[in-house]
Amino acid sequence: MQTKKSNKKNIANYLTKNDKISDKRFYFGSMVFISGIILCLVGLFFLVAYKINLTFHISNNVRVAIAMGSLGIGLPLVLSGVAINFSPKRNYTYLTLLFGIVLSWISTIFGVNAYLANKWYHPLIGKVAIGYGFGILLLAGTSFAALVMYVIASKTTAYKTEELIKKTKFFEERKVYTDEEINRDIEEALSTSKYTWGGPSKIPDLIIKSTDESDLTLSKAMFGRAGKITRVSADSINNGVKSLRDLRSGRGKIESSKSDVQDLNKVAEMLRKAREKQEKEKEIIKEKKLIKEWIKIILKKVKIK
Amino acid sequence: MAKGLDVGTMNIICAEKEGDDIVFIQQRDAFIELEFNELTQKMLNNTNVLYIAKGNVINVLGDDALNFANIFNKRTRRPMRNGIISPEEKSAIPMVKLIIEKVVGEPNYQNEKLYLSSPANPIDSDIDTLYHQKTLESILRKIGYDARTINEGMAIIYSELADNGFSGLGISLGAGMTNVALGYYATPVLSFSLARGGDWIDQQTARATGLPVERICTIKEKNFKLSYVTEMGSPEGALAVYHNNLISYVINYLKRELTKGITTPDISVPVVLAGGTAMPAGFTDQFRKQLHETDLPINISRVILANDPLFSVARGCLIAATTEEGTTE
Repeated sequence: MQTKKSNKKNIANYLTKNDKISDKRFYFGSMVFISGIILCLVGLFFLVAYKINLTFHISNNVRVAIAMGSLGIGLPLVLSGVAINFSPKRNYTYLTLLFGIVLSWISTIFGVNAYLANKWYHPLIGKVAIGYGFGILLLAGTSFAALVMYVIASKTTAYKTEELIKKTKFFEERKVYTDEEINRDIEEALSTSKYTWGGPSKIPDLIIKSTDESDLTLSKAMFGRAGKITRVSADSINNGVKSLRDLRSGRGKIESSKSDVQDLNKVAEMLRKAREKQEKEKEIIKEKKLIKEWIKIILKKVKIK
Repeated sequence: MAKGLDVGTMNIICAEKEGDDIVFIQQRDAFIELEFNELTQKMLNNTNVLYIAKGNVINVLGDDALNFANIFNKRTRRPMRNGIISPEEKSAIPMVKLIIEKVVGEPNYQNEKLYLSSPANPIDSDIDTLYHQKTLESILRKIGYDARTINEGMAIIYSELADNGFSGLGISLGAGMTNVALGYYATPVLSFSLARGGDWIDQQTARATGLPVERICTIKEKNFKLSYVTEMGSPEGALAVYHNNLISYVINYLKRELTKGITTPDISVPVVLAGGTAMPAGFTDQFRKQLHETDLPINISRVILANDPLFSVARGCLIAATTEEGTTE
């Protein structure tokens, strides 16, 4: 039991260290995301109110400004929430997020100000749109990348977990067997296997089911055995069977025929001759080397002179 | 009593002892499909032909199939291909079953020992022989035999090399395959098969000469002699070339397998050739010549052709079955 618990703990630690999203980050990300959604809803509310001329104590200009500000600030928050929750813990992710948020928020503030100051025209509006667009693009890109990374990481984690469980199981279930147990297993296995002329075989036998042959018409010749018959004397077979029985049972000594003995003598003779030949060849090689060295020495002396 | 069975691509042969004789019963491993009509059925009944009729089809089996193929100018269908039950022939298993039943007959008693030959897995193709082996065993068990399998090459060693302590090289050159086994005191040291045999020679010769395979087969079986002096463009010349090519092919693979680091007995071993493809006159001489020209890691004492090349495998199976029967008695 203890081993199983410790295994689970090991796996949990393994996951936390490498792949698991920490709780703090998850709550923070969720809060950011929900704030963004609320702001977007507020923005949409004011936009709808402006469109349908809902009676309010706030002027139309302010309504539009609030809608612009809420959507402008809320949308980056929604995207950032997704990115924070799913992105791996890496500094450049936070940096990108921060840059995206700052860019979109500043653009929003400038936009709202321009609108309220009645400066909602070219070139300021173009600059605001470009700034805001870049900011949102950065945030959307980071969120998308974070989601992709998360999907890949979850698949790898699942694989690693399976592997880890397999490994743990293997070590857990490994048992040391005694010689007696091993011998008993071998005997058990052999007792249910057939000894064929090529070793024991333990492949299950096929069983053919009986087929309905009532619609078959057989010729007269099909009843009984049929074929070309050849008869030869069984003398050679009797000798063969006797020799093979003796060989298999170990009752009779293994008789090697004269030809075997002669062959062995022949091989021995061939080996002796081959060795003699090798020795001779070695001597010849040595002589050749000596001659070469002499020639070299003579040539050197001639050069010196 | 015990029986030996050689299930070959061309012939199915059963061997059994009957008094002082060994009796071989042989059937062609072939069948032909004819259209059913009463006239054909009457004719077949009168001529005592092996056939089964089902629906609109009559299947003529064994040697009779070959005769009918010649009469109707049709091709026989073969339930075996490359030494195993043909995966391309849908009627292969029932046809093999029927031919086997005709050849082996009923067992003399329940669980009579029967050894059947099976090829080793070929090293030059991805064919696996296990399913073939198990199917044949189950067919024979269904008839009532205690069926066991023996390697085809080893069967030749049991059949032909008793006077050499069952040590040597047994090479079975059949129609669909060539099986090679090296045995040392009845123990298999090396065994392999090659997916080339007599059928391959026939097909190549037929392609080269433009003659039908059946015609080539007839020429080969009747009076063919392995000679390189032939008339220009004759099928005999092409047959000689492809026989020679098969010999080189077998010897090359034998050399390759023997040099793979197996421990071979340090004695001279005889080589026994068997099977229908080894039967043409001059084949053994050519094999001997090429074998002596090859630098093999074992010493060859002699190259001989089995006494009855066609029956050698069945005889070896019978020896194994009789030996086994005696041991268990």
